[in-house]
Amino acid sequence: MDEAYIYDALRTPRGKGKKDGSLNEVAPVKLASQVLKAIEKRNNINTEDVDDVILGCVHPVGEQGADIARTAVLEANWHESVAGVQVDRFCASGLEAINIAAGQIMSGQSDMTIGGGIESMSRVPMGSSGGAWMADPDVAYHTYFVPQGISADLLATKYGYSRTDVDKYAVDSQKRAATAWKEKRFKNSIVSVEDQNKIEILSHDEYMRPETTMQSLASLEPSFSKIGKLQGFNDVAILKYPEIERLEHVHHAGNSSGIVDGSAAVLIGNKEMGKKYNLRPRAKIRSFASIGSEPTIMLTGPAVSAEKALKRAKMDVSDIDLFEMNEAFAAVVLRFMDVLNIDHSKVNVNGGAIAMGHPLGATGAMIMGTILDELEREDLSTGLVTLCVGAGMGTATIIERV
Amino acid sequence: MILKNFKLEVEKTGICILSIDTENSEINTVNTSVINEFEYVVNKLTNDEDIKGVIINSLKKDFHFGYNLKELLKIKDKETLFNIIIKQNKILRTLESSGKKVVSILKGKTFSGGLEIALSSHYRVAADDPETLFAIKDLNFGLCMGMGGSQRLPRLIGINQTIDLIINRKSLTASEALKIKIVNEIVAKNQLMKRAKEIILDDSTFVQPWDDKNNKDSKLKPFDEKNFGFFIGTISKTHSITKNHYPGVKTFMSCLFEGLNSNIDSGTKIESRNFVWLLNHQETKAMIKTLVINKPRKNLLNSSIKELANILRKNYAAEGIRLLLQGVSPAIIENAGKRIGCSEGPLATADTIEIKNIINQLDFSDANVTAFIGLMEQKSRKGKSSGAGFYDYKNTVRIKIWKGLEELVALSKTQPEVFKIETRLLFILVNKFSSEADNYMKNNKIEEQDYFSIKKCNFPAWTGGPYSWIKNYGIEKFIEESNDFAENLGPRFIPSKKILTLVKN
Repeated sequence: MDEAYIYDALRTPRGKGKKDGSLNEVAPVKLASQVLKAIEKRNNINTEDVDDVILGCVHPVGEQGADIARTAVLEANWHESVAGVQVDRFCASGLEAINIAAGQIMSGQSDMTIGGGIESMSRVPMGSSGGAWMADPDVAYHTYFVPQGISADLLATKYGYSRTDVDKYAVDSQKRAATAWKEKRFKNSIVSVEDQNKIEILSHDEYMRPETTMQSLASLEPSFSKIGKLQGFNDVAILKYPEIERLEHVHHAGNSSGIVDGSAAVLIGNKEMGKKYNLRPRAKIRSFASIGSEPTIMLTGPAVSAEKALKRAKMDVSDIDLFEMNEAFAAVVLRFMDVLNIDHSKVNVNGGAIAMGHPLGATGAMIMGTILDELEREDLSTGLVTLCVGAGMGTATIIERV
Repeated sequence: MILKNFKLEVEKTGICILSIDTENSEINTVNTSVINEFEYVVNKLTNDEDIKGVIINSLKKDFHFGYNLKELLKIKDKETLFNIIIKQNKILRTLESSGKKVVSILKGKTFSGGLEIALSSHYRVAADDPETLFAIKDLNFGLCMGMGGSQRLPRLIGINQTIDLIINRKSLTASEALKIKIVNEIVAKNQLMKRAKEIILDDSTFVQPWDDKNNKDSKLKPFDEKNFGFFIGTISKTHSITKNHYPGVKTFMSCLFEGLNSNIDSGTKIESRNFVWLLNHQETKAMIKTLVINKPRKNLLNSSIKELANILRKNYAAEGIRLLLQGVSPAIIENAGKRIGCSEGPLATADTIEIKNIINQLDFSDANVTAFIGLMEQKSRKGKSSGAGFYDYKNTVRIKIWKGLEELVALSKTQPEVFKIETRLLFILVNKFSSEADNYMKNNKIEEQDYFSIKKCNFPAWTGGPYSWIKNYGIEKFIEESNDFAENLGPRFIPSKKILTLVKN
């Protein structure tokens, strides 16, 4: 098996995923192509050597439809021989893209690939791609479908995470992200988004609220209480989990991931490609794994996928120096740390999606860059990236600096 | 062919009056012999060039009630049944697409498949009469539409209106039906035929909305932005209420989901397949038998039936307390009760009827229950009316299980599977009903008692009543397990003589 090396990782800053967000005026294909161009420029590669561009995208419809990966390749003016494919593993799409890209290298079927992701949540809103999972009555009944926020509250109820617990986690995320930005820890990986005149549109993550305190969070109403009650989702969750008397709604806008726009790309290749372009491998992919878990509680997958990836790499939890566990909801990270018995000081050390936002299809590739930068900054060796995934899945990837 | 169920008159004007008059029946229904005649009649009149239009009329007091379910249930082979349903649907399809204008005149009740037949005509004139009523309430006995109604109705009035009408089991008066365009016009009862003839002869167009190529109404698609949230919310809401019983509800939603992304022909096939599946579903069969086919002709009840209902409630509540004292968690007890179709869990029921009122239903084996109720009294936890019982209340609204219960009872570390608790609650309800019912009602046949258990004693309808449920559960298995329960938990589980005689029959 060939080694798959990470040669570079870049991302756009995250814009607020609303009509007044800075990136709302940028079409998703442009967000994706700007990152590709930046990868090309910084590494001085001849794009003809790139075999495939794999981009995660959760709502591949409308302007994100019709294979946005290939479209972005063409829009970036890359060589026409570069293939492109869009993948969807919900929130882990960006990481899945990296895993597939790495898999092509490891199997010897490609020499250089891109794994990345794109999501303009302000332009293609959540839910745009519909789906049989929630809308086909047979499937929805059979899987006890509830929206992810209800699952997060179910997880918190079942495992006893209180409003204080989840809010405290959220405040930490904001503080860590603020410190990271203040100390310019992301500067190596951010590609400012520009218009056609090279005028800068956005150069920083604009969703953050570093002033967040326990008091300010306490005033927020739970986001899923009304929908859970009125549309029967609470009762559906309890139908699946009869040991629960009633759902405690602890998640709100301040302790759940933010809705944002963004794109990211990771350059992966074999040893020869590194030599050809005189690139230093920043890390190698040790292993990766995806798993399925119970779909109603939905968000318990990360620990299972992490364990599976660890086993494949013949590693133990204690062998991992840093973790990036996507902060979809605070309780999900708390549960992940509890199951694997990991100290918070090793997890999401520069904050996460609660502070900076979660551009669905792109996040996995973004946090891969984040962990890589941090491993280098702290001169550590091993990192594990994982995300919880819709419909009850988890995806994890382990990297090691070389 | 000699027509036994229809009367056919063709007037010189080119108007054909097709009058429905189901043989040997007080009401119009569809059975296999009707379908055969209907096919013959429709083929004949749609191929007759002299006929301009067809008036569908009823010679009975009411317009129509749809399928004869008793007959359909006798058809054991699924493919045979499917072919019958498909045939009926094809006839309606032929009628509405043959180029003849079809007008139905509606009086009295237009129910279930009756309304579906009416929907396959181009124009519906209803009698201005309080007895004119429209409804499809088949979900009440677990069934859903089988003559294309799940496809025509949403294409006519929109998906959200259809859900409201069917899921909420609404009955509409003529003017209500007019308002949502289920009927096109209301006229005096004695003017129905006259008006229908006028419509046939006028030059109005008569293409069905689903055959109109210019009609691109977005109300129709579950995935349309306007409908999506409501649609998935309805799936969840119905799932949370039916709790995996009453299969017709999910099936109805499936007909909408699968059918509306297609055309009327594929849609009716989808519906027919679902209809056949439902008719073979154990719960649906039990409900149809109890609530439709064996519905008692005579009602011999008196006010003491209420007493029987109360006894059942008290025993249900008492079993909840016994389970609690055995260490079962309140959440599992309450959820088990709701899962079998009771409106409240046993402990909530105890609160509602006042906890101490349960005592007169306890037996010699229940000393600990009596003592516990005394303890609750001491703690001023008496029930809902005093705002404190097994639950906490806020202005008589139930909030959550009282925390203090954890100090009064020791809950087991390993909790039982919820279905075991469901089974035990059903066993107590069935055995109690069966041993007491003869004392409180004069209707003593098991079919009658099944009916009244549901209608008067809040017995969960999906069971088809206690005796239907036992039969589906397995009579011998039920008796054996009841005896086991009786041995371990007390004599309240001993099956009645009436149940024991079921084995012999």
